[in-house]
Amino acid sequence: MSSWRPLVAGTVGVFLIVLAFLAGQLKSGGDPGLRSNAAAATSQPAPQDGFGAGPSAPYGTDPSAAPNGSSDGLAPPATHQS
Amino acid sequence: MTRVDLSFPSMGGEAMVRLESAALDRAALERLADDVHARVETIEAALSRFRPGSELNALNGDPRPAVPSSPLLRRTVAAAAWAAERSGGLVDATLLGELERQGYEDSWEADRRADIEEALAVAPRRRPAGPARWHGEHRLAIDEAGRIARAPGVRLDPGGLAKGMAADLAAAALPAGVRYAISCGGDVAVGGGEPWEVAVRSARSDAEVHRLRVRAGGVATSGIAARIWQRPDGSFAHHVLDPATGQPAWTGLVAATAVAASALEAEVLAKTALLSGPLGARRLLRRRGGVLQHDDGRIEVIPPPAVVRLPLPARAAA
Repeated sequence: MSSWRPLVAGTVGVFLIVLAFLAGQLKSGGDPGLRSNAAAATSQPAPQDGFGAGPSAPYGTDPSAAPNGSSDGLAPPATHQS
Repeated sequence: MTRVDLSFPSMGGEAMVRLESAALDRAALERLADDVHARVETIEAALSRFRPGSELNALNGDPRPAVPSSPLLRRTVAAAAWAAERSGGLVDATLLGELERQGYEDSWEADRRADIEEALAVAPRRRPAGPARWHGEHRLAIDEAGRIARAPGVRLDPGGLAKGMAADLAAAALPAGVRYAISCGGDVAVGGGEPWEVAVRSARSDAEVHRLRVRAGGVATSGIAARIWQRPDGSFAHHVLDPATGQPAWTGLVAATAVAASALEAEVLAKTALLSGPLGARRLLRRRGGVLQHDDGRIEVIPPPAVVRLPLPARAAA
């Protein structure tokens, strides 16, 4: 008579656990899809301080550069109409 | 980590190369950057319609229906055919005659540029562009002998396709372990490691309006404001034509930015989005994200779909 109740309770429990896990992933700021999905993009608003043009000299080298293109204040690569 | 930046004039604009490596020293990275420069120069020399001796001009001036050509030019024709199919005929690399009739015959001079706001104020009713009547006829193809075969009178104008191709080909020649961002006239190829932030510039002011974060692939922007001019009768024209009419396309967008698996694909996607107008563009860009710049000045960010992937059991165990 009531054998379906444990099944429903179990299903709801699993659902809540998975939901909590996914919510935790999103809240942590990570997007696991980016780790393996080439050309997937995330978005972030433009910084308020702006960025200058590229280096005036043909070459510029920063041996201590951080891997991220913008975290060290260098202008990131840009796309624009042509 | 060593980084090298190199910029140089290219394809009517500026090319930018940024290379980073933890294993290579500065001299080695500079050699790679010079190789990229040389490769882009070679592509431009072959594919520019503004260089009298280019292979493109030789092809367009050749009266034979099928012309033996270099692998690069064949690749360009293949890219043009793919772009036409991918875009439903909106990206049409055979509109050179129409473009010249609009007044874009010579290399672009910056002082020709008209004011985008003045042009928008008097532009025709906005509507999505459509394919040309010849779409699907394969007016440009590679025949069984490897020659470029064309319908009579058809001329090739790769335009932005050449920029995307140049960025992709230069990136493909880099060795593993080099993190790169290569921009040819605004078409950017990135990859080699940690995600890149790519700035999206305003079609009106060139200010940064947004940033996209891309691990590997391409980002490109297509817009109408960079090459816009006033005709002798006072009306305005630009270089992004509606294939259905042969006239400049006024769709409600001044620029569209797309993310894709390569710079060439991003170029095709961006131009297709621009020509499709706001509704079609949103649908096209929602798979990987992008940015729309509207006639009225609004900047609309199209976010990529939220993707959450559970770690594989083996990885989770490790």
